[in-house]
Amino acid sequence: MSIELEATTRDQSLEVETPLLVVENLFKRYGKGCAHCLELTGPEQDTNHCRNCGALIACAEVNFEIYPGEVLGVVGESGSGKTTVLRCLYKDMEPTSGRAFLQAFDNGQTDIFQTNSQQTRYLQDFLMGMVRQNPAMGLRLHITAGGNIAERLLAADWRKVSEIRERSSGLLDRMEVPIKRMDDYPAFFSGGMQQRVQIAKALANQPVLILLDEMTTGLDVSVQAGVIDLVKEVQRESGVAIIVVSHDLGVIRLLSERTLVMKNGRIVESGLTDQIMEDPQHAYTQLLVSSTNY
Amino acid sequence: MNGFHLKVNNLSKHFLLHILKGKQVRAFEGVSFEIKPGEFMGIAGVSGSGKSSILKCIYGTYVASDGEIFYQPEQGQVRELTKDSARQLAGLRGHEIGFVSQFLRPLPRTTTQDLVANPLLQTGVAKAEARLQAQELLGRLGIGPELWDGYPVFFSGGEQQRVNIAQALIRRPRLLLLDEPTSALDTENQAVVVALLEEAKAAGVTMLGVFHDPALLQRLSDKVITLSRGKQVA
Repeated sequence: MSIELEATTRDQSLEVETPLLVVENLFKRYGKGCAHCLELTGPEQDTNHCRNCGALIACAEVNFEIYPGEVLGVVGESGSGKTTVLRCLYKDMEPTSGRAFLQAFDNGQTDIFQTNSQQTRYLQDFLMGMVRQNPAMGLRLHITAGGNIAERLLAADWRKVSEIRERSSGLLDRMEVPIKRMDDYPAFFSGGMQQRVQIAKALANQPVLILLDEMTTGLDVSVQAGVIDLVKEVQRESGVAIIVVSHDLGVIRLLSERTLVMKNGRIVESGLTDQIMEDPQHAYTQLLVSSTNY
Repeated sequence: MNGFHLKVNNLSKHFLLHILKGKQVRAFEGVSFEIKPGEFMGIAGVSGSGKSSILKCIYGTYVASDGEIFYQPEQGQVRELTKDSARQLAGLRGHEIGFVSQFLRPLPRTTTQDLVANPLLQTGVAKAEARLQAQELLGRLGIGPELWDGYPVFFSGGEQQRVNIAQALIRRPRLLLLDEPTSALDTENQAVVVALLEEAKAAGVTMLGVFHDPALLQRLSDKVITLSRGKQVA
């Protein structure tokens, strides 16, 4: 049995394309901050710490857009601000300043960083899905796999038990989690299986945007290839847009068409993925690419 | 049609290597040419003369340092590719511009037929139909049904190269960039590939090709430019 993943907005015409998500000047600071924070941090200074006031700049001056049906990669070293960007978008944390507009939310008229709790719930439960690096954060490990997905469906106003059951089993099957394990607890699943349950959960409400945070880190290569392959297939079937955060260039190369490179909280370079890999422009990207064998 | 399909004007490419203390490496300099729709242009020159770099600049894999690349898409205005955004360049790939690289880059867990069908699937063609087209193309390139469900990582160099060609041809691009597509093939398989390229040319596909073999280059090309140490000499 396989499940049909209904297509969301898929726009092939390039000339008059509206971005799905526009992020403007996203800035996240821990600490009080001062007037010199921006000039004293960043890739040129090679630090995230403002030496004047001691504040930590997790990310700053982050601008990008993503189009319907696109897969956007974000690479960078640990502490470069990749996850912060995702968590701000998913409303896990409050950015210090900046704006973001999601086309599916109020036609892109309302800044998603300025929403009330009800709107935040709508964004998280209906429009976006997130897969976290640590399955313990993305799943309730002591609720069954099916229950994890059902919880999300309930949040999105699904009410019929039979329908919820059918949808969750279909999704788990699609993600190659054996149906007979549906009523087992994810705590007893292998890492790869937990990540697949997370992806099934993220897909459950047919979101317009899925955020993948280091979803294959810690998995062995064959399981990693399987998860990547499934994500690619599901993306193609449903046309959902995806932001993939990874420090693994191999994962980025396989999944994304365009890539952003981050260092010390700033985007230092963006472009076509093969351009980033074969003709990197920024010093950091050159170091990054020359350090791997991809 | 007002003339050209692709026009390259004074194109240059330097690599600035920050990790080698800002060392500059020149790929090529001041290259200009024009290709009419349906024409086959060859690029000749010894290894390291910058042939492939020109193709990569046009495809967007390299960022051109200087000069202009004008492209006439099937619909709409002439585009200047060096000024296009990454998103716009990505939109041209596949249907408008295809690239056959020297080496195949297999996808994990993907069989040969699915690898070739993959570009079609991305445009929304149904899986069965895409597979059928992939099988036909593979068959023509001498990759038999026994290999369709095999993984290309285990293939010989020549087989991989043919899979690579099939992958680029399946979308029927209007402009095909060929980076030594026959370098690993024996004469028999080379003839098969050449026949396929000639057929594509008869169907109106514009091509820009880099070949090592001068005889092959003469046979396929309507015109040839020659590079020497990154400069256009003829």
